[in-house]
Amino acid sequence: MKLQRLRIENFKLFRAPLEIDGFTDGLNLFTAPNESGKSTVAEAIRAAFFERHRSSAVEHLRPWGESSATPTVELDFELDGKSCRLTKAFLGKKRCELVIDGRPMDGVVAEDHLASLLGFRFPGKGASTPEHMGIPGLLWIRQGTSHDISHAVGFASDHLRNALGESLGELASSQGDAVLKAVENERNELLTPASGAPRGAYADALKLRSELESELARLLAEIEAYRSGVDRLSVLRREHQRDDAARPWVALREQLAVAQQRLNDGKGLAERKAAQDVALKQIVAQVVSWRTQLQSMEREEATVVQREKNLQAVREGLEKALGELQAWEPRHAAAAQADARARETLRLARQAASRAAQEKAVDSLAEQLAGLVQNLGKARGEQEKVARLQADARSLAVSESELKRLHRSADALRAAQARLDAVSTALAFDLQPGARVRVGGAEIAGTTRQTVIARTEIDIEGVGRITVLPGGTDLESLGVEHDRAHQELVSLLQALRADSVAAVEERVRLHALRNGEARAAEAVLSALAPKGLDTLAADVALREARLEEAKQMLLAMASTSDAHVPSVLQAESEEGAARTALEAASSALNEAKLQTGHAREQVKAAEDELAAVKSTLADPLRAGRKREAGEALTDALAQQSAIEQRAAGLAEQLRTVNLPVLAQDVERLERSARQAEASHSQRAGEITRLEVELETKGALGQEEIASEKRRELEHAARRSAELDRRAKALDHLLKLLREKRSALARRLRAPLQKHLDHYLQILFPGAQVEVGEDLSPSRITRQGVRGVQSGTFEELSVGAREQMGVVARLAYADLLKEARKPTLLILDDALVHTDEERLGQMKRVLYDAATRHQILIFSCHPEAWRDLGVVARSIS
Amino acid sequence: MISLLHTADWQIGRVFSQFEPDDAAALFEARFKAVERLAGIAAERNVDAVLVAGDVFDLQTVSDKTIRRMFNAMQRFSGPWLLIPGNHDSALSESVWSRAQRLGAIPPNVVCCLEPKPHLVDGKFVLLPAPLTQRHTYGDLTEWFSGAADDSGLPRIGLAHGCVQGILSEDIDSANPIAAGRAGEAGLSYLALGDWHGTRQIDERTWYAGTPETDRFRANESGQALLVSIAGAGAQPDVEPVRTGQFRWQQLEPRLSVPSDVDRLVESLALIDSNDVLQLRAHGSCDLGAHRRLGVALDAARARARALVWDGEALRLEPTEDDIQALHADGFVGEALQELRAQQGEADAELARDALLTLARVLDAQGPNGARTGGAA
Repeated sequence: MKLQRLRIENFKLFRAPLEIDGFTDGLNLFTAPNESGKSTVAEAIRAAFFERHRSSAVEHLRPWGESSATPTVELDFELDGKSCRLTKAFLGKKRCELVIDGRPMDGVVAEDHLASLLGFRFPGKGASTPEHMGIPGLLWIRQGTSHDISHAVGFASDHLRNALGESLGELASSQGDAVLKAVENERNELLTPASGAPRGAYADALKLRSELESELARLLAEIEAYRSGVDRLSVLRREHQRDDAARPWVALREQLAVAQQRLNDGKGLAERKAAQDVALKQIVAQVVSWRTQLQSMEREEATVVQREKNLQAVREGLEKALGELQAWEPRHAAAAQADARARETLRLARQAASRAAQEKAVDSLAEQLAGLVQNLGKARGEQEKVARLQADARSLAVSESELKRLHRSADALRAAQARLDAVSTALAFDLQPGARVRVGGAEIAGTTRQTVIARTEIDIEGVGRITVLPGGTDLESLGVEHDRAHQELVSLLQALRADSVAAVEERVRLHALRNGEARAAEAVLSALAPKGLDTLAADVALREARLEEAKQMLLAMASTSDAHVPSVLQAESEEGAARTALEAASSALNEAKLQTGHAREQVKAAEDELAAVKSTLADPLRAGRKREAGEALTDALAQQSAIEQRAAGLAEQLRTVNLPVLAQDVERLERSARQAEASHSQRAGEITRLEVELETKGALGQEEIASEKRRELEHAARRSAELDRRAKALDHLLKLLREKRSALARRLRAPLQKHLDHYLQILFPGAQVEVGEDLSPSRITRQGVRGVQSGTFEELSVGAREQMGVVARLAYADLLKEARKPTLLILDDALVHTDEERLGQMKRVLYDAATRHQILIFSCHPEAWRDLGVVARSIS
Repeated sequence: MISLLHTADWQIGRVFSQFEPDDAAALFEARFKAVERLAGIAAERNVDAVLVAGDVFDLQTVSDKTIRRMFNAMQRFSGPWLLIPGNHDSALSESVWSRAQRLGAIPPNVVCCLEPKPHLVDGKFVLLPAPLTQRHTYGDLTEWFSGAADDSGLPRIGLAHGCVQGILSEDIDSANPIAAGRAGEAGLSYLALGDWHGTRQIDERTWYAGTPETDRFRANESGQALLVSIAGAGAQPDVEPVRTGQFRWQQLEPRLSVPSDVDRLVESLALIDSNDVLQLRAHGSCDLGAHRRLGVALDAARARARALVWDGEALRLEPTEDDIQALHADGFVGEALQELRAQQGEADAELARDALLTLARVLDAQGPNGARTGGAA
């Protein structure tokens, strides 16, 4: 279908007629600003076809405020090679005329005819809605609907399916979908749709089976317990019978009695032995006491001899001690004498020594004194010297200030002199030897120089007189000054009693010299008498006194007469030795005295003891007691041996009897007998208990129940196996049917797929799109920035959906064209969310599609479509 | 002249778990009915005693009711019943026998021989029983027969439960051995044996009576009892089997290759009646039509038989073109069907077969005028 001319009048904002012609076969681009009516043009085309001319629901087509207008649309187009003209007028003067290849039709007939040609239909009443709009509803994209494709596809699906060929009927084979549905339903009764887990009867059967399994297991466990109980009962009964027959406890009790008897016997023996031991102890004690008594008596008798011996011995001892004593006495006396002599010698030696010492002392003192006296004399001399020098110095003293004055005065004089000289006239004389010259009355000769400050007469012999009258200022004053200075100096000198300054200076020097000498002398003085002269004098006096004393002492000492006095040292050593000897002798003597005393005492004691014993032995009763004791001892000894014999005999017997072991035997046998009896009765009890238990359990008829349960289980197992197979078969079948079906569908949709792919490669290279059941695009897989992306159509962005929407419609158009359906495409602001880059690709797509279809593009962005290859036209 | 009814292996209280509940219940009941029939025969033929050679009860702890019912079932014959315990009901310290005694369920004419001691029966013969008194017996309990000589001149009848050595295969319950030739060696006129569930002669004087009501699928001449007549002490016994069992147990494994095989099977199924206990395991392959026919026949037979166990897992489905046509499976459904057919030759053949059957069922249910949706939902 190719639109050629369009004319609208009284249509919305086109009160005045608008005519557009010169539509081209391919792309037609209309750009106009907003609200300039571009959408109105599209709407006019739509109204012309979709709305019945008689419709009263088209008030909105009238221009605003013109309630009587007749919106009119006139279209020239080519359809199937035939040229057609459609004229439609609404509301006012309703009209519909269709001329196809010169053949006119009008009214409803025309409208219906167009509808069938183009592939849409009319509503029963009211305005046309999308569900009626069929193919043009799909291909004429209204503003803002390019991304919304599935409804439009749905409303055109019959046509699309037809275009895919009658063979699409194959898909809805005679019963295919019904079979599929039936199988699906049956399968979903037994398995969950999502995960294929058992449900419904199948799940119940499985549950039942597992319940029965566990119940059966429980029953079998109980049966097993019962069986073990029965086996155990057999064992117990056997044992019990055996014990009933054997009655082991009887034998044990007999053995026990025997053992008990033996034990008792043994114990009796032990007791008797113990008694004997006690008796033995007693008798032994008696023996011991008698024996002791006898022994002490004998000891007494022995003592006499002893004592006498003792006495003898001590007497001898005494003799010896006395002897010792006598030996030591004279020795001691001798030692005392020697000692006394040595002491005397020492005393004399000491005396001599001290006298000598004293003489020495006197000498030294005298020496010292002499020295000191000498020093004193020297010191006095020095003192005088010092005084002299000092006085000298004093006389020579010139005070500082005086000296200064002197120097000043001297300087002043020199200065005055110099000044005077300066202003004075100098007379230089170089005279011949014989020349006689007088200057100022003074003779001069040779080479001299004089200065004159006043009138001066020079008398030269033979020549006359030259009078020099020095000029210069203040000569007089200078001379006065000079004189004054000179006077001052002279007076100073006089005051100082010196001749010249030099003399004064000499005095000063001498003064200093004298001071120095005085100081030197002072030094010497102080060396001689550090503490002063007086002190030295006093010291001397003292020493003199001492010396006198010492001399006196010496005189007092006796003079030595003996020349054989040894040295003190020698005397001391001799004295020491003598002392030591004396001490030794003394101690020995003491010792001897002690010994003697001691010995005497011993003798005394021994004599006493002897006397005591003798008196005891003289006791008349003693012999009797001794005899008695002897007899008693003999008796006791006899008893003892008897007891010992008896005890030995019993011990011998006891050795063969092991009491602890016998006791253990009794214990052991007692225990065994008791245990045997106890376990027998216990077993009897257990048997009874077990019998009762088994009776009760047996009465439950558990094996029969278990058999029945097993039967139920097998039944349940069979059933669940059957359902399992059924479910698996259904599942398998369902999968297979679905597989086959979608394979078929894919084959059938291949043409549409082909067209879609063609455009898709331009827009998204390498991408794939799936065609859904409803023939609209469903899943799109593209190579994105972050790898392969796959998503449904709805998951795309608005922009991408827009683009896909346009692309899909182009694919449908291609498909419909192959089926020789009219395919006019209108894009009214269809790509508003598309960016520049994609728009570029879309333009390629549109350019390509326009080779097969007429495409009207309305846009308010002329700049975006500049490179479409088509001149943009405006609407006006 | 003495006459005896020799029976064994009553297995009272056995539960047949491989069957449906109602069939299992009926077969449980059948065991009591067999005892009743035995009692009837004994009374009718006026035997001197009924010998029951062990495994009277299938379990030690059957319910009290079961115990009572069993002894009740013996009512019709008031003569001596001589029972020994077998391996299922061995006389342990506590056993079904001690329970029965406590319940007071044992009538006075019923003797439970729980000890290996000779027993004079009505002054007519001496019974030498070999009761099992342990859970597991590995020795020959009939050994004492030889030593138990007596000078009564009466016929000596042995009653034992076990496996005759060297004669029978290992395919038997207990390990309890019995020496071959025991009857002759111990001077017995007759040795009545139990444990082998089929009627079987061992030698002239030694027989297994077998179970009076068949209880398993192995074909072994069961469902009988033996009427034994002995003229005198040394005389040869005269043994006559009598039918006592109600149900026929059969195990069939038909091989199906061509359609006529299926037809034959269907025919034989039609002959199944209420006394049949049938196990059917088919091999081979058949088409869908045949499979359907077979299914119908099985359902009918199942209703008629006492019990029917069908195992068709080894049966492969080969739908023919007609089958597929009949199913109206075209388009992708048809493709699916073909694929399932092919999958039967691969690893998971069973799954494919089941899926194929399911598809056939669904298609059948849909009918030729299945809803045409004309487009996907």
